[in-house]
Parts: sequence; structure tokens; C-alpha cells
Amino acid sequence: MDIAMNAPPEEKKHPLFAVLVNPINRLSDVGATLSALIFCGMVLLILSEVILRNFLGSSTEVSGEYSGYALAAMIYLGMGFSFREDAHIRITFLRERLGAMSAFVLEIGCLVFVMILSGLSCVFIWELVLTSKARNLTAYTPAETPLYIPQAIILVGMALLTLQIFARLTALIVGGFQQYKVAHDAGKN
Amino acid sequence: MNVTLVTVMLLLFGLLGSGVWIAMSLIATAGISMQLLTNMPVAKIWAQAMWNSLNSWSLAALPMFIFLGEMILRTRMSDLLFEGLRPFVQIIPGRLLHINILGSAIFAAVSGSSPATAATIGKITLRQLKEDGYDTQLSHGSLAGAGTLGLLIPPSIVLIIYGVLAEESIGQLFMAGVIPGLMVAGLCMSYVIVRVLLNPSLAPVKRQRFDLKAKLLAVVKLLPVSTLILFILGSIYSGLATPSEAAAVGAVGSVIAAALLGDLKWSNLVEAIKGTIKTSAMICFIIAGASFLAVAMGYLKLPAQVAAFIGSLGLSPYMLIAILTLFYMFLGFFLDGISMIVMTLPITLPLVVQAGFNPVWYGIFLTLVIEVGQITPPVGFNLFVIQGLTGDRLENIAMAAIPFFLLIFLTVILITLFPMIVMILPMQMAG
Repeated sequence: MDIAMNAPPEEKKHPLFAVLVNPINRLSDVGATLSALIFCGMVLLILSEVILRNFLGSSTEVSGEYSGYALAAMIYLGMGFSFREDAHIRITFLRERLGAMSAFVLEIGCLVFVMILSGLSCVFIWELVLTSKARNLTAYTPAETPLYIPQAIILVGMALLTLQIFARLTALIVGGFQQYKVAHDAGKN
Repeated sequence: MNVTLVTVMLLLFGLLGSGVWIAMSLIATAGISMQLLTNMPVAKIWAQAMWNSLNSWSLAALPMFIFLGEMILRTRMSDLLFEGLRPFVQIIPGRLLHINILGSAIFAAVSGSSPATAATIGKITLRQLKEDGYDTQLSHGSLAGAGTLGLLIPPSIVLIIYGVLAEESIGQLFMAGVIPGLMVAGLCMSYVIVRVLLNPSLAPVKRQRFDLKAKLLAVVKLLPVSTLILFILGSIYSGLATPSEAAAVGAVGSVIAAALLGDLKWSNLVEAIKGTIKTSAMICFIIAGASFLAVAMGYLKLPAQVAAFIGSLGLSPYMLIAILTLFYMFLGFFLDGISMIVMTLPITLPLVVQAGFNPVWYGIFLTLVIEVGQITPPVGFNLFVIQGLTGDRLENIAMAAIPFFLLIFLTVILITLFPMIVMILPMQMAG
């Protein structure tokens, strides 16, 4: 997979990219790879349930429960990757109508805001994981899966997202206003 | 005006307007307004909402259906669809224009997304239509309009999300979308026929002839996609499989079909999975944010207050639906369909149910209203897709889509007056 998708080639030389942005991008790629593997596992699990139930009169017993965990895990682990690839949607109406400088400041503001939000989510999910572990909470299913395990996976996903937002903010600031202006003006036409 | 409502609205539209990602805007609005206006443990509810909303067996169908569409888009299956339909549209006035519509309807039956439908079909048809001298307006408009069928004809991503949030059976919602979907397709085709009969210069005069052998070959070319459709819809309708199970069978089926066509490349598979992760993460993050906002609005007692206010107006059920239609069309100028549904459902669903409408019916109504938003500027995704494919001006494409916009609108009126159009199939369903 490509590394540092959002940065033009000359910016990769900046030392911050080597120590910070590139490693974060690589972590997001690891997250995306895990997400892909979990997706494949989920498909195979549900498929085996269909085959067992309709042809062999049996059941995996856990297909419903584990595919729920698998969905949450694949989505959150893919969060850093999808943020870097600009898959998440936003309304650009205002930004397109602002001058380059205002848009640059607004973009920094947006990134700082969502970084705080994403960081807070990590703290809150961390508390949730601790509570689930301390109280030995398990799912109401025959498997009695301890809930802190799947919950810890979504914590990892949100941590990846927070890091990726931080990387984007760093790249934007290191790139500076001039570079942003070029992209902004190109987007307007 | 009440303080709670104003606070929530200011936060939500302020954040959305400043360009904060939609999912994040929803989370922030929920968290901040709860912190300001209630004494609830915000952190705990926040984390619970992010976990509970996506730990969902029903929602697991979503990435698998997205993957299925991605596979068809990236393999020869989409070209085969065009070649297979070609001989059979020759007798209908407007000929290849109908491939835009029929192709969209068929592709919609394996894919749940409207822009994906318009992109897949447009990539195959638009250039051919231009080369053969079909009218540009009619070819762009029919693609924009019929592309929206991706939302309505099952499997539909919008209906999966609606089912999860409204706690309605996704299988029933899927079946409810079939007849209205075919109706929209039928109306679009009728419109094209009438236009071409009135003005034959809109389509080239020359008719291509296909002998029996060519027609039989065409049927064979339709087999991969039609087998997938049969498996998916058949297993849901008969009760043999849940939508999530049908999605898993479809996902594996698409890989097998690609392999049989000699089209299964590692790069296709990797790209399809990457696309699946990106689209699913985008949609599911919005769902997580919306679930948190729904919980927050519940604690803020907003749905009850709005319901009491609307109740005090003494609107007739039809009047309520008319107002909601206008409201959603207005929102459609700013927001994409999925965000619109997830943000407003906690408030509008109780209103509509209270007025005596069936929740399954309301799911189809919402989907149709959102289809309209797909083809109206400035955020009509189908318009952007067609612009990307043709390089035509957005205004021209939007103009070309107007008649089809009106046809979808007509469908909204018809299902409101005759709810049986929606309800007859789900009521017959097994299980």
C-alpha cells in the first residue's frame, strides 16, 4: 500500500515524516490489513452457519454473536486507513467559498477539534474496557465471551484514528500555507 | 423556541457547516449538549453508544453487500450485463436508452448503493449511447434517475441502516422495496418511450438485428448476475437465510462467479476489499455518531417535545407526510441521504407511526425521498458521478434529470395514496 498518500513527494524529506507521519501511516495499514482479515473471517463464519444449518441440521452457535464483534472490529480497525484515504464525508460548502488563508485556519481548527474528540473517545472507551474487565461482564450467550476483549479492539481502532488525525495535522502544518493554497485554489476550479 | 432544541441545532449545523466530518459532528453535538443540559454520565453513555451501535449482527450485512457490488464493478460481470440486455431492448422505442434503466434495476439488485449503480452502468453505456447518436439529455437524465434504484431495489444499504435504527425486519424492508423499485423503473422506461415516439430524432433510426443464436448467447451472458440475484432475494424471501447470511452467500458467490469467468485477479480482490473497508467505515462511523445522538436526544426529551408540538398542530396524516417530504427535500440540498436518515429518524419515526403509518412503509417512503436528493444539486451524488464520466456541466446534467426527479416524486405520491404497493410483498413473506 502507498505510504503518506496525502503528501507530495518533496514533503516526505522533512524529518517529521520519517519519524512521525510515515510510521503512523504504516500502523494504519496494519489496521486495514487486520480489518480485511476480520472481514474475510466474518464472511466464512456466516457462510459455515448457512451450510451447517440448511444442509447438516447443525449450527455454529456463535455466528450471530461473533459477526457482531467482527463488524465492530473491522470498522474501527479500518478507521485510520479510511481517514487517510479521505473516505469520510464532510460538507465543504463553506470552505470552497472562503479565501485560502481562512480555509487553512479553518482546516487546522477542524483537525484539532476532531483530534480532541477522537482522543476523548479513546479515554472513554478505555474506561469502558476497564469496567467490563473489573466486573467480569460477559455476553448473554452460550459462549459467555468476556466483553472487554472485543471492546479493547475498538479502542485500538480509535487510537489509530487519533494518530492518523495527528499525522494529517502535522503534514498540513509542515506543508505550510503556500502548499495548502495551491491545493485550495486548484480545488476551486 | 425551546433552549434544548436551539442548542442542539446550533451545535449540529455549526459543526457540519464548518466542515467537521459528519460522524464527528454528530458525536460532538451529542456529547456537548448532554454535558451542558443534563446530569447524565456522558463519558459512559458515549463509549457505550460507540460500542453498542456497531456490535450488530444485522449491520454485518452492510460491508458484505458493499463487497458484492465492488466485485461486480471490478470484473467483467458488468460488461456482460450490457451485452446480455442489448438484443432485447431493440424492439422498445428508445432502444439502448433502456439499458440505462434496466441495467440499473438489475445492478441495483446486487448492489445497495446509488452512486455505485450509476457509475457501473454509466461506465458501460454512456460512451456507446453517444457514439450511436442518442440524445445526450435523455441518456444522462435516464442514468441519473434510474441510478437511484440502487437505494430502493434490495439489497439496499439505506434499508439495512433504516432496519437497524428503526428495529424493523430488514428482510421485510427489502421485499417492500421491490414493487416500488420496479414501478420507478417502469415509469422511467415509459417516459423514454413517450419522448422517443413524440420525437424520433432523439434515438438513431438504425435498428440492430440479432438472430436467435445471438439472443441465446445474450441469455447466457446474463446468467452470472441473475443467478446471484436469485440466490440473494430467493433465500431472504423464502426465509432460508437472514439478510446477513444472504449477503455472505452473495459475497462468496461473486468471488466464485469472477473465478468462473476467468476474471479473478489478486489485485481486483484487494481493491474490492479496500473499497469495502473505506465505504463501510464511512457509513458505520456515521451510524455510531447518530446512535449516540439518538440516545442524547432521548435524554434531552427532544423527540417527545417535537411530537407534542406537531400533535398540537392537528395535522392530517397526509399533511404530515407532505411536510416531511418538503423537509427532507430541503435537507437533501445540504446532506447525503444516509446522514439525513440517521440524524432525523429518532424524531420523525415516532411522529409517523403515531399518525398511523407502518414503519416498513415509512422506510420505503424515506428511501424514495432520499433518491430525489441524489439527483438534485448541490450534493446529488449521481450528478457528480455522471459529471465525472462525461465531463458535462453539472447544471446540464441536473436539468436532464428533472423529468426523472418528477417521476420519483410521482411514485412518492402513489405509495402514499396506495400503501399496499409497498406492503403487499412483506405481508406475504415466509417466516
